Parts: sequence; C-alpha cells; structure tokens
Amino acid sequence: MVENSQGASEPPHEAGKPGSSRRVALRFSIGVRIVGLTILMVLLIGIISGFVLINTSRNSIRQTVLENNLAQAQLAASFTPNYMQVIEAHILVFADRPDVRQAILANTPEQLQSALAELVRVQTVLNGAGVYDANGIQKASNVANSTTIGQSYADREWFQQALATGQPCLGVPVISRTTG
Amino acid sequence: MPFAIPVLDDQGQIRDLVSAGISLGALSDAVVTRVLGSFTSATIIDFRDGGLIIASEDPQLLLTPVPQNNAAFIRLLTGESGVLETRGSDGELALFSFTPMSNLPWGVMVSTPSKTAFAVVDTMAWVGLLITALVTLFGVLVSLVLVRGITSPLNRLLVSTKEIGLGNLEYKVAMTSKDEIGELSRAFGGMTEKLSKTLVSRDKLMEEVAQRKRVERERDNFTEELKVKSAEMERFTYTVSHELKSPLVTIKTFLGYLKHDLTDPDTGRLEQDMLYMNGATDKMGGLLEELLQMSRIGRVVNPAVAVTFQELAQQTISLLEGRIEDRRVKVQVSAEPITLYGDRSRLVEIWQNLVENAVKYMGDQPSPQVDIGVERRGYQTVFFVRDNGIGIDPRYQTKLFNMFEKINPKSEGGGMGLSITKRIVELYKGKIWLESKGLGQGTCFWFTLPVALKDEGKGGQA
Repeated sequence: MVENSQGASEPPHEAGKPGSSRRVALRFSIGVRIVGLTILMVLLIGIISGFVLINTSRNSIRQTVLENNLAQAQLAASFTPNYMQVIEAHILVFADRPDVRQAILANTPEQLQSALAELVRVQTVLNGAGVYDANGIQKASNVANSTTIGQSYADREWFQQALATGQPCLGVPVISRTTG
Repeated sequence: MPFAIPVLDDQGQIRDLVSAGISLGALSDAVVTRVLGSFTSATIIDFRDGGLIIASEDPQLLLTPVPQNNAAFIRLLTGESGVLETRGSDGELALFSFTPMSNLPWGVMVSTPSKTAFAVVDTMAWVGLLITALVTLFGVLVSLVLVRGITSPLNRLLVSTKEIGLGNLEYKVAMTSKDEIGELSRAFGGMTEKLSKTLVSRDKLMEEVAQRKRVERERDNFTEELKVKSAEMERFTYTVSHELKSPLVTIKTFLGYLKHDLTDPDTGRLEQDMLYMNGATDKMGGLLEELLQMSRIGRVVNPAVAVTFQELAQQTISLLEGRIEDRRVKVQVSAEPITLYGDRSRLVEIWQNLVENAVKYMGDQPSPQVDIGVERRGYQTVFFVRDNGIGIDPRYQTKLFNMFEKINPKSEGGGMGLSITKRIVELYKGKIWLESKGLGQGTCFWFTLPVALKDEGKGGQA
C-alpha cells in the first residue's frame, strides 16, 4: 500500500497507473499552471492591446471620415450657391432680353411661349417656365396650350414675395402643377 | 423649385413675373452626386417650412420633411455647422457632417454609415480575434505536448520512487532519455542500487545482532533459572538433610540405648527402644515417600483431560469423606460452570491438600465450614478454599509453602502438602497465596491455573 500526502492509502499498481489522480495532480499543478498562466497573460496583453489598437483605429477613422465629410459638405455648401447663382443669372438674362420684355409688354403669349420653350430647352436644369401677370394669372408657359394657362398662382409664396419686394425670389420647392 | 423675377414696365411698376422651375433632380445630379466616397451620401435641405430635403441620391426622399429624430438634422436646421455620430432615420449609426450655405436658406448634410466606415477595422478585429484563438489553441496544444514531454518522465520517476519507497529496491527506473531527467533517473537508479546493497548488509547485521541478543537472552534466562534451581536445590538439600538427620539421630541414640540394655537385659526397655527406633524409621520412610511424590510432579505425566470444577471438588470431597465426617465439617461448593484441562489426579491433589489442611486445622470450631469456590477478577479466574478454622499467625504465612514447614510440630504429616500444592500450581503457570487475619480468624487459600484454563486439550505437565 502506498501512503499518499493526504494520509489515504492506495494500492501500489494504482499509484503508478497512467492517469491516476496523483499524476493528474502533478501535471496540472506544475506544467499546465505555468502554461496556462503564460497563455492567459499573453492573451490578456493581446486582448488589451488589440482593444486599444482597435479603439484608436476607430477613433482615427471616425475623425477622418467626419472631417472628410465636413470638408465635402463645406465644398458643396460653397458650390451650390454659385451653381444656383448661375442658373438665376441665366433666368435674369432671359427676363431682361428685349424680345422677352417686348413680348411681355405687348402681351403676346405665342411669342412668350416660344421664348420660354427655348429657355427650358437651353437650360436643362429647368423643368418649366412661365409668365404671370400681377394678379398671379399665368399668361404663358413653355408648354404650348398648357392647361395651367389662365390659372391663378397668387397664393404661392414665391409670387407674393416677388410682388412684395420687387426682387427675384427663390421659392420653397413645391410639386409642379405642370410636371408633377 | 420656383425662381421668380419681376418684370417692370417703363414706369418701374411690376408688370408681370417670369418664373422658372429649377429641377431638384438636376440639382441633385449637379451637387450631391459629386460628393466623393462610395458609401458617403449627401443631402441638401431647405430650412424653410420646417425643413425639406431638396437634393438627395434617393429620389424618393425629395421634398420629404427632415427626420425629426436625427440630432444632426436638428442641429443643421438651427444653422449650426459640425460633426456628429448618431443614429439615422433607419436606426443605424452613421457619421454626420453638416454645414449651412451662405446666401441660401439651405444646408448640406454628408453622412457615412458607421458600419461601412469601420468595416475594415471591424473585419481586422474579427480576423485578429480568430487568429488569436487559433494561435492560443495551437499554443495550448504545443504546450501540452511539451508539458507531457516533461511530466511523463517525472511521473515515471515518481512511480519508481514510490515503488522503491515501498521497499522494492530491485525496481529499475526505465529511462533512456539523454536529457537532465534521464541523468536524474540514472543517478537515482545508482543510488537505489547502493542503497539496496547497504540495506542487505544492514539486514544481515541486524539479523546477526538479533540472533546474538536472542542467544544472550536465552543464556540470561537459563542462568537465572539455574540460579533459582541451584538455590532451590541447596534449600532442598539442606531441608532434606536436616529432616532426615532427626530420625537418624533418634535411631543412633536408641541403638546406643539398645547396646546398653543388651548387657543388662530388660525386656520392657528393649521393646521401648525398638519402638522408638521403629517410629524413627517410619518417619524417615514417610519423608522419603513424600520426597518421591514431589519429585514425580512434572516428571510423571498423565494424559490431559477436560474436567469441570465441580467434578474436581466432588472428587476431593469423596477422597476426604471420612475426615470430613469425623470433624462434622460442612463443605460448600460454588456452582461456577468452569472446565479445566490437565492431569486430573494432579488437579485433584491441589484441592485435596488444601481441603485436608482446612479440615485438619479446624480446631474447636463449633460450626466448622469449608467453602470451595471460584471468583472472576477481571480477566483472571481465581479459585479459593476458605475455612473458619484456627487461622494462621501472620508470622508464619510467608514460609508456609516451604518443604517440611509445619506450624504445629506435633501435627500429623511431613509438612510437604502445601509445597506439593504450590509446585503443581506453578506447573500450570499459576500462583498461590493465602489470607488469614490471624489465629481464630480462619484461612483462605487463593490460587490461579492459567494453563489449565487456556490451553485447551494440552494441559500441564503435572
């Protein structure tokens, strides 16, 4: 009989048997503890480093993307007014054309329609154009025989504001009665 | 989106208005789609009427109200410029950058989904995690193999140590590796071999010492026994010589008287002389007979038999029936169920001598009584013979078991009865002693017979 450290006894052949409790205790008490501790430490350091690295990368990417987006937003913010200014200038030039003024003053809808159609055709960013009298009644449209001619637009904000100020007015976007 | 221009007449009055609709789709194409980045989208909102989307990559969003649950849009509507990571209208996190436009009541919002922005990092994290797991698994497996490589020889060494610790010094440590553990195992094997040789020498030495001690002990016992026997023999020789001398002196004295009386014949005196001489020779013969009887104890052996205590007591009473009747002694025997093994005649002789003495020394007791019994004292069985006779003076109690010792010189017998009794008791490895408070107080003889009670079937050599 073999006396173990706990004072219990076991047969000699069992003491030497592979996988007996004593062997397992030795293996796990020395080897696996060292290996386990080392791996645990490495894993811990790796996980912490990885977490810090990933977090840093995310912050960096976030910052970069936000800055990039802001730069693009600012670019768009500076580009868009210029873009709009060009379009508005084009319309202003159109309105100031002698033939257009003559047609307006002479109240010749056919001539106006032709000029408006040409304007819309030339300036592709425009989806429609029209001439309205001081009461908001549409006198001419770029579309020949448009059903909107004769209709009143006096309730529109852009009409009221332009009439009130006498200045060009960019109205609040609405769904067009013509184009939908 | 309408753009209205007043047309003035010659008086400067507004005559008509020219209005053109700016296409929001064209605006979107011109501005929004120029934003760089595959996953980045831009939106232009009009601050008026609570905020409307007027340019977007998604045509469905055009002219829809600004989502009120988006903090970035809310901040943009206040004219603020900045960046923010928050949840969009779809519930997903996104990176928003926003700024208002100068000269226009509009603002631009550029956003990138966080998932898309961090896709590379997240993928790297998952790949890193996977690689870590694989490396860890690989490390554990390799470590286990390495640990097993170290602990297996150690375990074998441990098993060997245990086996050798159990005393199996012939056990060989099977280790062929050439590393430090192998060296350790070989050194351990060498040490075990030397230890084995040392132990063999030690065992032989110890055996020799034990044998010598045994011989010495036997010799001491023998010497002690020899001393006792020698002292006993000396005392015996002295006693026998002294006791035999007395009748011889008597015979010699009366032979002188006889010679004198023959010259002056006197028949009466001659007969008287011869009577004394005859008495002396009878006494001498009796002494010699008792000596012979004593010498037979332990030398002449009858086969051992089982006999109960009651049978021995009854046989004793039968043998002494005449004397018991003459003295009108009442004899009581206890009913203990005890069986003894031994020479029946010798065992009877113990009780016979003691009861005979009890009856003989009863004195003038009006109610003479003898109790034959047995007592249990712990693990010991003690027999007794008690009487209410004349008792024994404490001065004589120690030498009463000596040969030819008689308290009353005029009493019958040669004084050998108690000596013979003691000799028989000692043959059964027992002891005998007496208790008496003095003259007239009665006597009780106690004795033990361990061999007769324990060695069943073997008995003593009495």
